[in-house]
Amino acid sequence: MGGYVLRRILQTVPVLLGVSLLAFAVMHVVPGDPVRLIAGPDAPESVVLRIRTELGLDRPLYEQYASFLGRALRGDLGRSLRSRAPVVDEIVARFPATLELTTASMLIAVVAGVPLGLIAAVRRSTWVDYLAMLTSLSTLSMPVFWLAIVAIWLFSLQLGWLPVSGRAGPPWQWDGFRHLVLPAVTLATTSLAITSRLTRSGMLEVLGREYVTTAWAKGLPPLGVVGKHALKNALIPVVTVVGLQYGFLLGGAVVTETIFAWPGVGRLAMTAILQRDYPVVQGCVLLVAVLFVLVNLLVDLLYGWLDPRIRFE
Amino acid sequence: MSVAWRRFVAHRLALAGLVLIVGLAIVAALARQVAPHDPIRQDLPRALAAPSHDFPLGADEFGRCILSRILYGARLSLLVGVIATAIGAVTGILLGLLAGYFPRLDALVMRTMEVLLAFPSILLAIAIVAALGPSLVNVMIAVGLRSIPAYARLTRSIVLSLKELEFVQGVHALGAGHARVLFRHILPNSVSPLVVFSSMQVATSILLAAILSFLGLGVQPPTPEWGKMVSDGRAYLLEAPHVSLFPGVAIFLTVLGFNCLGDGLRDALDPRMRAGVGE
Repeated sequence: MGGYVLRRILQTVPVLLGVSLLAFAVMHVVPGDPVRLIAGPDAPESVVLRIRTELGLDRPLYEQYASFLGRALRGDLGRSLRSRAPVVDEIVARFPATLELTTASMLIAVVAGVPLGLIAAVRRSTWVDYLAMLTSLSTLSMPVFWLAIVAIWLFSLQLGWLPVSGRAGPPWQWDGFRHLVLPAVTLATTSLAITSRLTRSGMLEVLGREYVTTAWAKGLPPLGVVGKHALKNALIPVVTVVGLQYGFLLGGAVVTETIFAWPGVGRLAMTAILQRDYPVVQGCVLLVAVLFVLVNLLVDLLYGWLDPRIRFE
Repeated sequence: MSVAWRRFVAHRLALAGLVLIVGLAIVAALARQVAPHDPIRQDLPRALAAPSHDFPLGADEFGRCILSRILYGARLSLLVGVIATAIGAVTGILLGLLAGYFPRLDALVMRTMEVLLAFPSILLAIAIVAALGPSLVNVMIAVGLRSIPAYARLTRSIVLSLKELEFVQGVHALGAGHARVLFRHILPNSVSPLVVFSSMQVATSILLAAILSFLGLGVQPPTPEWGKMVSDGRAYLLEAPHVSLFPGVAIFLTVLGFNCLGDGLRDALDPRMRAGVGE
C-alpha cells in the first residue's frame, strides 16, 4: 500500500504542473494586448506601462511562468484588477459558500442516487427499472439552468415556499436551509442521475457473480445478499464517480451560483470573466483544478484501499 | 448489420430518439417554410403575448414569435452540437490512436489529457470563450476541446486491445506500414464504440453550448439561440413564464433524443459497453 500511495502522489505532480501552466496560459491566449484591454482604449501610455509592469507582462514568458508558479506556491495569486484586493482573499472569502453548496449537492446525489440505482437493478426489467432509468436519462438531458429557472418559477414565484436567490446564514438554521434547498437540488440533478445509473450497472454486474449466487443458495435473506454481499462491491466504481462528480459540481457551481446569486467562487469566477479581471479568473480556475486533482488523488487512494487489485496494476 | 438493426429497432426508446432527431433536423432545414413568422422581426405591441392561435408558443419581450425562433434556433443547436463533437472527435481519436499505438507517445499524450481533464468542462469552456471572445466559432472550439480527453482515452483503450490481435500482427507481418495499420485496420474496427460515444457527446455538446449562450458567451443577439432565449426570458418570469419555458423544452427534447439514440446504439452495436455511462 505504501508504494502505491507514493507512486500515485508522484503521478500527481506533473498533472499539477500542467494545470498551473494552463491556468497561466489563460492570461496569454487573449487575442490582442490584454493590458490594452484592461486599461481601456484611451488610457494614457503611463497607465499602460504601469499595468504591464505590475502584471510582469514585460518579461519573457518562461520567467513570468516561473514567478507565477513561485508566488502561487506561496499563496500569492496577485491582486484583483477591479477591487485591488489580493485574489487569495477574494477566493477565501467565498469558498465556504461553494463548499456548502457542492457538499449539499453531493450528499443529495449519493443519498438519492444510490438507492435509486439499487432498486432499479434489483427490479431489473420491470416498470420500476424503466421508470428509474427514464427519469435519470431525462434528468441528464435537462439543461440545469433551465431547470433552475423552472424551479424558481414554481417554488418561489408561484408557491412562495422558497426564496428566489441569495444565501442566508448557515444551513442548520431554518433561513439558511431554505436558501440552500433550490440551488443544491438543481446542482445535484446531473450527478444524481449519473450516480444512479452507475450504481445500477455496478449492481447488475455484481448480482451476476458466482459468489452472489452462492449467497442466495446458502439461503441468506435478500437484504443480506443485496446489502452485504453485492452492494459493497458495486459501490467501488461509485466512489470514483463521486470524485469525478465533485469536479463537475465545482464547474456546475458557476452556473448555479450565477442563477441563484449564491456568493461563492463560481459566481466570483463568472463576474471576473465578464469584467475581464484576469488574475481573479486565473486564481479561480487554478483553485478549482487543483482541488479536483487532489480530490481524485484521494479517491484513487481510497479505491486502492477498497479494492486491493488496483494497487498491483 | 441486420442483427444490430433489429436490436436497435427493438429498443423503443432509441427509436423514439432517432425519430425525434430526424424530425428536428427536417424542421431545422425547412425552418423558413415551416416557421409562422420572421424570427427576428419585432412587433412591440405584442410583446410577451401569451400563446395564441397566431403565436402558438407566445411572443418574447420584443413581440417576436417564440415558435419561429425555436425552429430557427434548432439549426444553430444542431450545427454547434455536431461540429463541436467533430472537432473533439477528430483531435481526440487521432491522439488516442497515436498514444495507443506508439508506446513512446503514450505517457506524454495521456498526461496532457489528464491536465485537460483536471478542469471541470464547464469552467474550461467558459474560460476559453471568455479568453477568445464570445462568438459561434469560439463556442464550437471551447465545447469541442472539452471532449478531446474522453475521445483520446476511449480510442487509446480500443487500440491497446486491438493491437495485440492476430489480424493486426498479420498485417504487420505482410509488411504494412504504421499508417496503413492504424487507419485501414485499427480505426475501422473501433468505429462502433466511437459512434455510440459520439451520439452521447453531441447531447453533452448541445447542453454545454446552451450553457455558454445562457451566460451570454455565445451567439450574439438577435440571432435566435435556445440558451440565450431562456436567459432573456428570466426577467419576465413572473408575467410571462412561457418566454423561458419553451426554448428550454426544445433543448431538453433534443438532448434527450441524442441520449436515447446513444443508449440504443450502445445496446445494438456494442454489448460490451452496456455497463458504461456517458462520461
